[in-house]
Amino acid sequence: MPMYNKKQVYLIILTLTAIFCLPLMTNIVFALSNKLDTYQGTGFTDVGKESVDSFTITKGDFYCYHRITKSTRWNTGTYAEMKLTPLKKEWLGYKTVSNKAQTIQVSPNDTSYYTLPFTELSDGTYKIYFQSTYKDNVDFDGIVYDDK
Amino acid sequence: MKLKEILKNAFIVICSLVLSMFLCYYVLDDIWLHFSIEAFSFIFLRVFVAILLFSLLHLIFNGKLYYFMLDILFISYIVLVISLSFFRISRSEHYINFNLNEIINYSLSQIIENFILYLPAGFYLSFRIKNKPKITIFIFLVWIIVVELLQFLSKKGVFDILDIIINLLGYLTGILIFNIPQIKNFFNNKKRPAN
Repeated sequence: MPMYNKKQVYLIILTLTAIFCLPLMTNIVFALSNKLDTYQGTGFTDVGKESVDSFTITKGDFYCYHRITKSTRWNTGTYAEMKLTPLKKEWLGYKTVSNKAQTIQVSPNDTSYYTLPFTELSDGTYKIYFQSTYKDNVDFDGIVYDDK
Repeated sequence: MKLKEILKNAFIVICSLVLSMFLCYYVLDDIWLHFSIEAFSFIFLRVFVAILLFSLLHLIFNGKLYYFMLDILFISYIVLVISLSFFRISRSEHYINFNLNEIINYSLSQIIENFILYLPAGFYLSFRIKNKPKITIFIFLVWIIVVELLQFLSKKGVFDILDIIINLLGYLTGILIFNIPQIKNFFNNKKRPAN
C-alpha cells in the first residue's frame, strides 16, 4: 500500500474539496447576482438546439437578456426571428412548456439586448430550446436572470 | 415455473424499471435532449433502457438470454427510432430535397446521428434473418422511404435523399460488421437458446 506523508494527504483533500466545491461556488456567485446561466450559440437554424447548462428557479419566473448578433436573413435586409422555449426537467423527461415560449424579432444589424420574460412557471430545473423561426443561420448570446 | 424463479424475475423487472428511471433522469435525459424534445420520446427511452437492463440483469442472474427478449429489445429500439423521426420539434419549412450538394449544410453531428441510427438494425437483422441480405436491404429501403415521406406529409420534417443515403450506409455498415468472420462465428456458434 503506498504511503503518503501528512502534507500530501492535506493536498489531496484540499484538491478534492476544491473540485467538488467549484460547481457550488459558481451557483453561489450566480445566486448572489441573480444570474442563473449564460448562453451563446452560432449557426442555429429552424431545427434548433437546447442550452448546454440547466438552471433552477424558485420564484416561478426567469428572464432572458437576449441578443442576436448575426443572421443570414440580415444580408437580404429582412428581420431575424428566434423562438425560445422553456424545457422543464421532470421524472418522465424534459417537458416542453410551449405556452410560455417567447419569440423575438430583430431588425437587420440590431445587436442590442432585449429582455424576454418567462413568467408564472412552476419551480424546478429548466433548460431553454433555441430555434430560428426561419431556415436561416443565427448567432446569439444571452444571460438568464431570476429577476428583471 | 417455480415460485422462486417468478420472484427472481419480478425482482429483476422492478430493479430494471427503477434503474431505468434513475439512469434516464440523472444521465440520459440530458443526452437524449440533443435528439428529441418531445415527451413521448422520453417515455420510449425509459422503456427501451428498462428492457435493455432487464436483458442484461437476466443474463447476469440466469446466465442465459432468450431470442424473444432480444426481439422485444429490437422492437423497443425501432419504436425509439420512430419516436425520433416523428416526435420531434416541428421545423418551419417542409420540402423535398434531391440535391446531393446540400450535404455542405449538414453538421458532422447530424451525419453521425443519421449514420448510427440504423446501424444496429443492419446488425440485428443480419443475425436474425440469415443469408437474405438483399431482401432485408430492400425492406429497409422501402421502410426508410416511407418514414421520410411520412415525416414530410405530417410536417415533422423534410423528405431528404441525403438522409436516406446516410441511413442506408449505416444499415449496410451494420450488415458488414456482422459479416466480419470473427463476429459472425461468435454469434453463429452460440448455442441457440430456447424460444
